[in-house]
Amino acid sequence: MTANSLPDVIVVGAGTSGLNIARELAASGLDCLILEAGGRYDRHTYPRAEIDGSAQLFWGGGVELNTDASLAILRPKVVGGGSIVNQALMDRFDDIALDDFRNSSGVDFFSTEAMAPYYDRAEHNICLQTVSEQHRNRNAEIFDAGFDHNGYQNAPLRRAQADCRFEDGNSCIECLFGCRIDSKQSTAITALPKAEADGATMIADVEVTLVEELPDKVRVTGLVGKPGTARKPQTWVASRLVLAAGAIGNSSLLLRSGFGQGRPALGCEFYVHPQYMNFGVYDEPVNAHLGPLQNYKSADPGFRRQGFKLENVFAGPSSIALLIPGFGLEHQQMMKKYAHLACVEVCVRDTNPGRIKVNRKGQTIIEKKLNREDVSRREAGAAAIRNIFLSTGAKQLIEGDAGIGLHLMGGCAIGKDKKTSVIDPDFTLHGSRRIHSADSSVFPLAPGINPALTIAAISLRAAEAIAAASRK
Amino acid sequence: METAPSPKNLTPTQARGLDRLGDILIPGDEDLPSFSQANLTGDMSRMLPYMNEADRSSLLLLMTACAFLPTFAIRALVALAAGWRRAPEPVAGVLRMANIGIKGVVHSLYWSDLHHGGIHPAIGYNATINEAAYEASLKTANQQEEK
Repeated sequence: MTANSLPDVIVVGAGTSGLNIARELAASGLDCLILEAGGRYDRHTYPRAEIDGSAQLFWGGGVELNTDASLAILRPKVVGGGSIVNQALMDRFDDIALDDFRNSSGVDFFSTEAMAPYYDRAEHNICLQTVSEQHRNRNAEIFDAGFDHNGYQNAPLRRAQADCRFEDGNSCIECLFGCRIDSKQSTAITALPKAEADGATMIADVEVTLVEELPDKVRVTGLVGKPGTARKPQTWVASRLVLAAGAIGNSSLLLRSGFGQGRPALGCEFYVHPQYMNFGVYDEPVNAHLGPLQNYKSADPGFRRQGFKLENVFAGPSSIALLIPGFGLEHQQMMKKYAHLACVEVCVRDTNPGRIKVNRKGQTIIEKKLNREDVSRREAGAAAIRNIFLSTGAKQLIEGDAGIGLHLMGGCAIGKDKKTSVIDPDFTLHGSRRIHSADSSVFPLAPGINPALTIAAISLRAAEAIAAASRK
Repeated sequence: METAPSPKNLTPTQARGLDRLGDILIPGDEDLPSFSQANLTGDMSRMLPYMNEADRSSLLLLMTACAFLPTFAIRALVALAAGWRRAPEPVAGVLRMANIGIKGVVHSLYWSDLHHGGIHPAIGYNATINEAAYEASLKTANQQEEK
């Protein structure tokens, strides 16, 4: 973008979708301005301490809560978005997820065949590796053995990683707040540099508060400045707007800007894949924090049918302390067994949609509950975890104190019907000519599969549509 | 409209309240310092600017209250919040919110082992990233490319 010129496109949100779209649009010759609420870090500056990672890289200073506080919502706020703080699991959606998406939305491209070229391109843009078993830790061994003892099927994980250099003693848990050796293939290192090389401009620490569509342009207003400082309002104008602030960000921004009028589905159909960490306490050290954080995923058709999956995950001491129930000496004693804890998480494919609202003060309200079906899915997963722990010698089982919402999806569902969707199949807001979106907010329901690769693939498809619309 | 800067530090009263609250959650023993012994109230400046205004106000109010409440009352408050599973909805929801808020602040401060006070070694947390080896490998690769 040259000085004093208007950008062709403003992208709000520099996560998986926003930066993939910006890279494609910039490569096609469009001037892009990318605005991100979070800060911009690199491998030298990512927060080291757990407290700083939580505070600096997530909305709300760590977590946000749904209205009944049953879910701790983790919403990334950093250049690179979820690709900075996730475990970089990269799976294509299966036929079950894509068929459900197509049937729910009426959008034909949700099929294995139609998505394949975009998955191919998304995969080509990053390094992908199957996590080697060579350096697996005891937590992974327990997961694998427990599956084997109980006749469950698992599979190695495929991650967006270049080289985690485990021979140097590295532990991926330290990269949950940004990878300090640039192995994790975040969009901050895979997409943003290319977008900038093609002329895109990135501005961090801008919280967009209002978007307006005028007959010949869009206007975006935001507060500029780092958290805690006096932030000043600023306005930008462009021909088009791409909303890539995620399910909660897009929904609340559109609602706050008055786009709820005539769009009854805005903020609805919100899903999170509720995740519940369960722990087994073992006599021998497990050291779940060392080496690769995850090696396996559940690949059991029975689990898929029942609507859950299991992952062998773990977290840093502060997060584990939050999840271990209780307080005082008893809690402290359990924390001393941190290195003896194994952990398996049940991730529920939730069926009960939540809703994003904005109250009179402009604050975001997250309504999300589990229905009876979702609870039974969670319990089925928890039962499988108990079987895994008990068949591998756990001396005590602990159920985590809170559910976690990390895969934030929906709120601006894609579809043909204006009454039940918000974004049309060409990735344009219903009733708009200039506002587009293609991130996880367009998901019509919960797929039950990690969403990152599909967000990237859909964004590549959307970039084609947006570039074509810009040329008209 | 320009926003005002948010408070970055606790008042002495709020700091006293946080220490008293923290000691209920983490009393310490022969291996681990208590919350107050870990000297962490000054590190609230690492959290406060990033919190939502409503959460920050509620938290500061709680800390002020904890500065004046008798210890048994603080313990009862913490126990009530921690026992949310025994309460009916929607009361349980309010208790969950308090539980996550209290635990979130106290445990984030303490278990991050900000002053390298032996907290991580005491629980066996020793995860690292060998950044020096990585940077050296980049340097070597660059030198080889130049040749």
